[in-house]
Amino acid sequence: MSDERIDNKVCVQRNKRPAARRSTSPAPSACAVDEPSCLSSDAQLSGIFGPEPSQEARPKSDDVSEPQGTFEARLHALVKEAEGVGDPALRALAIESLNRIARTLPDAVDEGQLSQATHERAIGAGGILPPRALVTQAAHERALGRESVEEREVNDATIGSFSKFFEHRWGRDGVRERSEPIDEFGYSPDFEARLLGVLKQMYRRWFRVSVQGIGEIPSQGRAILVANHGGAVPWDGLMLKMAVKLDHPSRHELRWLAEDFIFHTPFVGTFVNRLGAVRACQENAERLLHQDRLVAVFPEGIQGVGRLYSERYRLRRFGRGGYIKLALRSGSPIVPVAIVGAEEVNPLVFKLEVRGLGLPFWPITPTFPLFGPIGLMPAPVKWRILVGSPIDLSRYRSEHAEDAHVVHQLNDLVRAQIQTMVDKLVDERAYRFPSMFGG
Amino acid sequence: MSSKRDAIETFGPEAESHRREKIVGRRARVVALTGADSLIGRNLIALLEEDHFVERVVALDISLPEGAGLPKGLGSKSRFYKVDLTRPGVGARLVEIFQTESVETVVHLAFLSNPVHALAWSHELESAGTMHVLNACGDHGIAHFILASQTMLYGPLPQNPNFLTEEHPLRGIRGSSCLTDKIQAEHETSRFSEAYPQTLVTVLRLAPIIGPTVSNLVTKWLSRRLVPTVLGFDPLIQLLHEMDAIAAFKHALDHPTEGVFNVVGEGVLPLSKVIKLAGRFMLPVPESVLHTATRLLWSLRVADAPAEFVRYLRYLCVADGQRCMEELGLVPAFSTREAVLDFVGALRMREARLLGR
Repeated sequence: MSDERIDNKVCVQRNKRPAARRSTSPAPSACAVDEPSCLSSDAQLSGIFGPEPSQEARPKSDDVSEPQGTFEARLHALVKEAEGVGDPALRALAIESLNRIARTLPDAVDEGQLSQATHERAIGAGGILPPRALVTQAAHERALGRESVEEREVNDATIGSFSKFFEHRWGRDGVRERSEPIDEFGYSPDFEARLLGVLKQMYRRWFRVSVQGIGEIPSQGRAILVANHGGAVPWDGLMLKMAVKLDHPSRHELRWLAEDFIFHTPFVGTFVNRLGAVRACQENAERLLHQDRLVAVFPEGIQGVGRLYSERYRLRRFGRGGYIKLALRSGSPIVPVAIVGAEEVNPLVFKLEVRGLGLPFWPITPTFPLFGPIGLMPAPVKWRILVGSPIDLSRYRSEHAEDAHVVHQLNDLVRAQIQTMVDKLVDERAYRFPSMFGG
Repeated sequence: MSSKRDAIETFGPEAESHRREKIVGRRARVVALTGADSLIGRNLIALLEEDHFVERVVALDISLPEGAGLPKGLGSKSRFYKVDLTRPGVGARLVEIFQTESVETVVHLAFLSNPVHALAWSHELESAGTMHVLNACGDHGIAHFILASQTMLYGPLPQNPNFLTEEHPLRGIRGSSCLTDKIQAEHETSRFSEAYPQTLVTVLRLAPIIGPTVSNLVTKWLSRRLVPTVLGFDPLIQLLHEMDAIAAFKHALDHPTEGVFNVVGEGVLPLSKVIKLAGRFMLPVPESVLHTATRLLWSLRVADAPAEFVRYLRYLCVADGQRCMEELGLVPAFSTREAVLDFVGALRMREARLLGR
């Protein structure tokens, strides 16, 4: 009695196990196949044979005894259905598939066997065929005249056509979803998460950043934050990022454009890149904005970083207005940002104009190089960040990006506005910094 | 080349479809492959042997393509001609072959996958060889020309944007003749494209290829126990699975499309993650030291690449594959990390002596 029950169970399991059997079967070819791709490649293959009716006509995997359940029967049904729909291409495809099955797989009885065999055939055909390769195969088949299956449709219709659960758990897309993302610009959320504790302390305790008007940053869509630059070691990009991450109600991500000399400095460049900095150039900025991201630019660039302490908070030329062109072309609002505090972190007393390690100059601060690398430690200065209301550029068109006059005017306007905001913040400070460095 | 694409657009989509039909509509095609005894060449021959609509495959190389990808040697459709592109009189011989076989499509694969010491020879093969092939194509009047190129030719430059589009100039590395020869081949091809508007010219710029069977710079570099990198730099790396590389050529043959296309795997990986995935140890070396050591080892014929290639370990050289997906309609199956994993699987099997070279 009990034996029988166990037998039954085994039976049921065997019936239900085509997927498991497949995933444990060793890859027959010399090429290494990762298991998930085997699984989904079956799903995809069967999808190519019959993507459209698969949603309704597809039987549960355990009613294999029913004639309806066999793959061939389904293809027959598909042929009929295609005739009904009047789609000769689909019909041709189904007939072709049937013929192929008849040729190569006379013994394929149930679906499990069939997909096993199909899979092996796919592997034996001269290489592994992962699911998206089948898109290529579909394209190939189309070129051979069996034109009916749209590549995109194949992709969409077949995900989960075998089992949504399997697909999400072990399928290739599941692995893709779960694996740690390093985005195309090199930003690594994992790296950031590991440093978040330190960065938070830096932001809250060390620099005690106070932010006003962070809500002015649009809560969705693309936008360009334009800020003043400062300090021999530019911490402002990172702190602005932390401000958005920690204090903005809905946005959490900011990419800032870093100058070449930061980006190509050993260790520093990679470090800021993993935290979200991107090398400053028009192409990168455009790509980021087209993905509706928040991008911070420091148009003063190297001039802002190389500003002596005596000239602090006097904004330099804002480049050639590249960011204005960017905003006009991509239709992004410009959000002016003033940052005060960055200039006192590593007060630059003198610039040693010696090139080395890719740096444009070597900074001389009261503590560097006097105390060695420790001298570059940021001073615990209180920071203030003021975010102004977005500058509306909607009355300009993207053609205006080529108009030097308009760009120049807008550039001056934005610069003047940020200078005013910076002055306001500096005046607000309760204390004055010593002017002993000639300031 | 872009002007020609514009011209097609100005004539409307009908003109283009008509043009396509001129090539695809006939179906039975004769495809010639130069550099047939290469990874892509051998596999492409095998693929074309299967294709019902290919009448003949004309394999041109200095050695008979066999081995990996072609276990049983050339199939019934294929014909082999021994052609040495470095010979001065090779142009006439190519025209003769093209005419006797009535070749319609030429796939030019005769490029060195690894840098070599014989610079004069490689210049003759890659730069002058392409010229000979193009001249023969022009004389014979073929319908479709496909050139194999690389995204590495953009060069690892500090001013590169994160994603290089096809419009970006090919800068290579100054002083690296193995790249400049290939760049010259591309320039020759674009000149050819302008001179012969009736021939469709497709240029496929492939990202560095990785995979279970390929053996090139990348796989050799990753097969070491200690992988040298540049101290303080961790550039983003983009790779292409070998199968996608082969599929790209098959796709370009099946869907003749004019233009230059970057064929790249989806996504990028930092160099350090690639090495981690391969289970190797990173050996970070200051750039000057690595440069000097590589130069020394290269001159001693020990290193796989000249010293200039160290820059690939420092600066970005990542291409944008958008146009390939949209205009050519080719979506590479493997992302960069899947390609690395596939290579690593084979690497592990080789280490366990379960897989031959």
